[in-house]
Amino acid sequence: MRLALASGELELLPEHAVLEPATRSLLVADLHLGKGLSFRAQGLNVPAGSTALTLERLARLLDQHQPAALFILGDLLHDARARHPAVLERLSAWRHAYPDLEVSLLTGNHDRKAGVLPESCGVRAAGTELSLGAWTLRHDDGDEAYGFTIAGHVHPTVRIAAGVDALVRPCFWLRERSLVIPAFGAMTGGWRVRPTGAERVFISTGRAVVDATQAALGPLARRASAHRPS
Amino acid sequence: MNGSRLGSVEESFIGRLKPGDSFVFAGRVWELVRFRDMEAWVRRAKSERAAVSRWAGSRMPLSSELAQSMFEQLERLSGVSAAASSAPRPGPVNSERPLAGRGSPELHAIAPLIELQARRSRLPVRARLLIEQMTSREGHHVFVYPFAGRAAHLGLASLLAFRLARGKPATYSIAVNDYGFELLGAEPFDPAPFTSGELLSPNDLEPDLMAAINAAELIKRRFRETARIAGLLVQGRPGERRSARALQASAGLFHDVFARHDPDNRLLAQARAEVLERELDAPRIRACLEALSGQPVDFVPIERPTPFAFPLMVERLRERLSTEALGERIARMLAQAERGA
Repeated sequence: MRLALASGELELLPEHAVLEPATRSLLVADLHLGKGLSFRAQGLNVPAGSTALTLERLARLLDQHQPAALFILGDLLHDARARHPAVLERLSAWRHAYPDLEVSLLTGNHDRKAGVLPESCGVRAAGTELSLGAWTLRHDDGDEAYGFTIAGHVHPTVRIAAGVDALVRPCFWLRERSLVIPAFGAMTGGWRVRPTGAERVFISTGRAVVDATQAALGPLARRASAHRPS
Repeated sequence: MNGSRLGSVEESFIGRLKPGDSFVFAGRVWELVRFRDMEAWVRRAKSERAAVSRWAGSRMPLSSELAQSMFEQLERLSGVSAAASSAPRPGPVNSERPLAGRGSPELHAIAPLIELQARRSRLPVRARLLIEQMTSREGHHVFVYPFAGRAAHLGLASLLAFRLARGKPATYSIAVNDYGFELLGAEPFDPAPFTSGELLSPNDLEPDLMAAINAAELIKRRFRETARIAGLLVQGRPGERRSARALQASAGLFHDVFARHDPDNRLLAQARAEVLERELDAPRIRACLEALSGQPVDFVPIERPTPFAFPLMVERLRERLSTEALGERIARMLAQAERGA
């Protein structure tokens, strides 16, 4: 889905990523690689496979869109325990399959816990904030002093309801000064957002991204907004 | 207040009390001083008036004996009510009190409701299965009254919803109580499969029931308990200031990770077995379906909710069962929301 904003156009991808067409950049957030491994290291016996699945999905997305650059909007690794040889090996194997791709990581709260990545991972540390054309890239959308920000961090989800049916799905959350994108990692939870005012939410049907703002408001708010003079 | 331990009350009960409220517990009247970190501090109350502690968690389903005697009572009334509803009525019904003097005071008290039920629909009786159908702004409702207890009804409702949605992908919302259950769907219900007995057949019960609970969100719900006992959910203990935040993940997330990467995991199998045994009462479902097979079905369209239908309609604790693919389900919901449903 193409999103036309004051700062330019963005393409929201059904795989929970964003394509910035002007610079041919792919943006993903909150991969939380090694989360399962970290849980296992602390005695919670969760099955393995989520790190591999996340990287596989990312590879598929790169093959499909052939971007010039990849920006990870924070939380690449889950924590210091996730900075384990098994995870780092997977990460560098994935990295070496795309030698021409430029990969940058905006520092997230989990990246701070995980520590600096070894050189072999080939991920450029981009600090906490980066300008990409008219956009500001950050881990969290933070203060309003920045330009239009694209961020992750909260793993936004939304509850949509219609008639008898209701569902909670990860969502893109378009706010006044920022776009918060859903978590890309296979083992990540979510934080419920409720769009207010002019905010909008977009969810993936698997094949496309669609505007779900009406369904997210609930029948009462929908009726109220229908009566509001616009 | 001196620190001695009195016993346990249910959180849902104590959570509703404010400090200063009094309640009866352990044979005495107590005043709530404060409730924090799962501990309720109390002192002896001066007040005589007090709430009685309740434990709602151990809610037992209606037993078949009780259901039988309810049917007996209803049958005692049905003769009178049927006559009252068919005969031409000169004045308001209540003034005549046609049911007065029959049976217990309790029966006397609910007589107007029973009569309303008979007027808007029919009274449920033992030899016939009553099904009511209604359309509202929420969608299309069917109400079924097998009187088999809430656990068996949850299973029966899931089974029916699954069998209905097998041919044609759909999503149903389910409400149950001890007397019956409700299916709420977006499309009108066809009476034929209900009256032919096709939906209520005891054939293929176990595989259909298994498939039904997989399609419903029951296992995911049950998995919370299983995951907690298995130690996957790290919960803050009473009195503990901070829990291990780094390890926190929701039961739903654990369920999805297991289902994707380790579908044969024993915790999942355990949750499934517990749903079958504890929540659905599988043996009673079979008994109920066998009793129902061959029974005539009254499929009654109603314009307004009947006294039996109303509590089901307003029940907020609902289950959902869907056989639609996620993408199609989202597309349908969004279209519905745009129309302002």
